[in-house]
Parts: sequence; C-alpha cells; structure tokens
Amino acid sequence: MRGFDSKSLALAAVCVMLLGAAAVAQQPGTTPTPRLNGHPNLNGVWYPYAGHLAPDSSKKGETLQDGSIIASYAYERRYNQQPAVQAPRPARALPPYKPELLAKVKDLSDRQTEADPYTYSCKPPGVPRIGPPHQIVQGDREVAFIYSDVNGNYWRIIPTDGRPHNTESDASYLGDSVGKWAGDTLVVDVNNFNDDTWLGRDGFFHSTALHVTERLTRRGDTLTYEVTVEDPKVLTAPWTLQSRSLELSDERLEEAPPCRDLDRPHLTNGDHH
Amino acid sequence: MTKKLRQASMTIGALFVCAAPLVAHHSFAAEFDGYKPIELRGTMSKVEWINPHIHLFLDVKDAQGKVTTWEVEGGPTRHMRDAGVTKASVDATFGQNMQVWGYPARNGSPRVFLKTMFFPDGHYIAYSNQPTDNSGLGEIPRPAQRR
Repeated sequence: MRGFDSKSLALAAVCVMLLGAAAVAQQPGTTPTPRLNGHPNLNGVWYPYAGHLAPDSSKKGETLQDGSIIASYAYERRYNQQPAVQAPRPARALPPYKPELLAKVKDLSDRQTEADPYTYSCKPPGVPRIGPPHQIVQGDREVAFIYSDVNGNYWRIIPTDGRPHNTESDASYLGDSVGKWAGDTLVVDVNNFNDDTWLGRDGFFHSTALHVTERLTRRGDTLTYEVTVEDPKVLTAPWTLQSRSLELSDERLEEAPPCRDLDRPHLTNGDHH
Repeated sequence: MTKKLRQASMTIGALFVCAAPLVAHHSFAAEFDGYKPIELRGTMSKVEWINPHIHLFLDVKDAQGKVTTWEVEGGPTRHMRDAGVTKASVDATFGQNMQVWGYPARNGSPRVFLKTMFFPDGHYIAYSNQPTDNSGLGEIPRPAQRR
C-alpha cells in the first residue's frame, strides 16, 4: 500500500465523519426485538455493516434519463467494509499461536497466493472465515445459516432442541454445529472440522482440533455476531475475533453461479496486499 | 450523445465523491498494474458469468487488422449486479462494439481488470478505481476521452 496525498486524506476525513454521523443515527435498540417461540426472531437476510451509507439503497440500479445506470462504489464499500479512501491495512491481531508455530504462520503468509486453501480454489472458506450468516431461517427445532459466498452457496443446519453433535459425520469444512439459547443469545458450538481451511488470511492455519463458538444476539434490527476460536493443538489460548454488527436487509439471496478461478496462472508474485 | 455523457458523468461523479476502490477478493497487485488503465475497443465475443470473478472477452483489432482477444476481469456476480451489470445485460452485447478501460495484467497477457465499461447504447458503468491510479482519468473517463 502506498502513500496518500493531502487531498485524499482530507477526503477520507470528511467521509469518515459523514459515515460516523450515519452510524450514530442508526443506533441499535431503538426498535423492539421481534420474538419467535419465546426467543429473539433471527429470521432474515443480514448484511455485515454497521450504519447505512446515505446515498446507497435508494440509488441502487437506478437508471438515469440518459440511460446511465448508477453504479455506486458505495455498494462495494458496504460489502467490503472499507473506508471511503483505502487506508493502509492495519496489522491484524495474530491468534495466540504456540511459539514454535509462528515460523510456519509467517511462511504460509509469505506464500499465501499459493498456500491459501480458499482463495483461487473455489473451496468452502470454513468457519469462522466464512463470516456471519447471510441469511438465517429459524425453526422450532433447528436454525439454518445460509451463505452466499463468492466460492459458492453454503448452508449449516444447527439443531437447537438439545440434540448432541453428530458423531457419525466426516470432518468437514464448516464442521458440525449444535445450538442452544443462553438468554436472548443463540450460542452455536462447532467442531469436527477438517484442516483444509484457514481461520483467516495471512497464514492463520488451524488443526482438526478446531472448536468454534459463535454467539448471535439480536437487538432491534441489528444482529451482533461474536466468535471465539479454540485449537489446543496450535493455539495457547482461546482467540476471540472482533465482533461484527449486521443489519436486517430486504435483499434476497440468489443461487451462486459456477465457481471457476481463472486468475492463478496470471499471478506474478506473492503479493497479497 | 456527448452532452448526455457529460451530464451522466457529472451526476454519477457527484455520487462518487466518497467512492471506495474495489478490492478483489484476491491479490490485485500481484496480477494487475493499478497505476495506468488502458483503453480497449472491441467486439464482445464471450461472457463467462462465473465466480469469484466474471470474465468478458473482447476481440480487439489493431491498426494492421490483427485481432487479439482481450480478457476483461470484473468482480463477483453479486457485485456486478449491484454495479448495474447483469448477465443479461452483457449477454445482450454479444457481437457488439464495447469500450472498456481497465488495469492491465502485469504478466503482459491480454487481460485487464475492469475500471469502466461503455455499452453500445451509450450508457456506462464505473466499476473500480484503484487508489494508485495516476492516469488522470478520474473515476470515469470523461466524454472527451471517447473518440
């Protein structure tokens, strides 16, 4: 990432202020939380951003009188959670790897364009890398998490009626999940993962001992998604990711097109920033 | 048309004051030169409406009449739709002349990452604008840059 001139920085500051004001105007908890069978109703399509971006939704796909279609980068920003002007990416918190494994993390990170099991592969990203569910369908006995990922559509069926983990299933990319309600928070316990995924980019590998706990709490039309990762084979302590705020959306998920990567043969170096 | 394009540029440009650069889900810098977009004019010959990125193919004829097929890489289908591009809208351009600005591949192959695309009917979409872009074109090449 390269430097920015003063105009860019000033523009970034203005945009951050505008976005901040928008976020403040959308404080969660101002609308009542709908309930279903005694629990918060998590049904809906949820998007991973906090605060509406003012010019967005009303202009999406709008065709001007001259035939021009409004194509707003704001949508990209919404999906990618990027600031208006891209700033140098801050260093991410490193999971608490065992000291003897730090060299492996660095090596994988340095070779990420070839070593990453997700990018360029069309394979499932795994949990927690897949992020919060894009849609939740909540039933009496189970909850479905549905994902519209660039690598494909994925789903997880999560029993919430006390059924234990399925010990008969093979280890998998998205693991085996069971859920329970702890007050108004849905707590999902996930295990039985394969090791063909990373926790995130930058070489954050894990073992098949991975154990993930997700916590989903709805307040008004905002859903908070929190994740804690444990992996006693490679980590010295649980690793809690930064929580995410999701907003209820009226968009509809669609069937993913075929996934076929055409980029890998054209990479000229290992740069992944 | 020029007047219409100018109006459109002004309108959309205003919306883009706080525009963010698109970042592909993979490395951009390892694959494309984000400094100087190039212009392509050619005939749409193929559409690959796939994830994680769509790929459009333009048959571009040089001054000597030699035709080279250029690959134009866009984003995920969902992002493209939000940018005003559907599969139907690009399928409809098959065999028609398109103008594309894109960031060229670093390995010298005839490929670009989509910046802006002008459709045969004159409407256009702006898809990405790299923070490193020093071409002076801005978010959208102005009508004067259309020949």
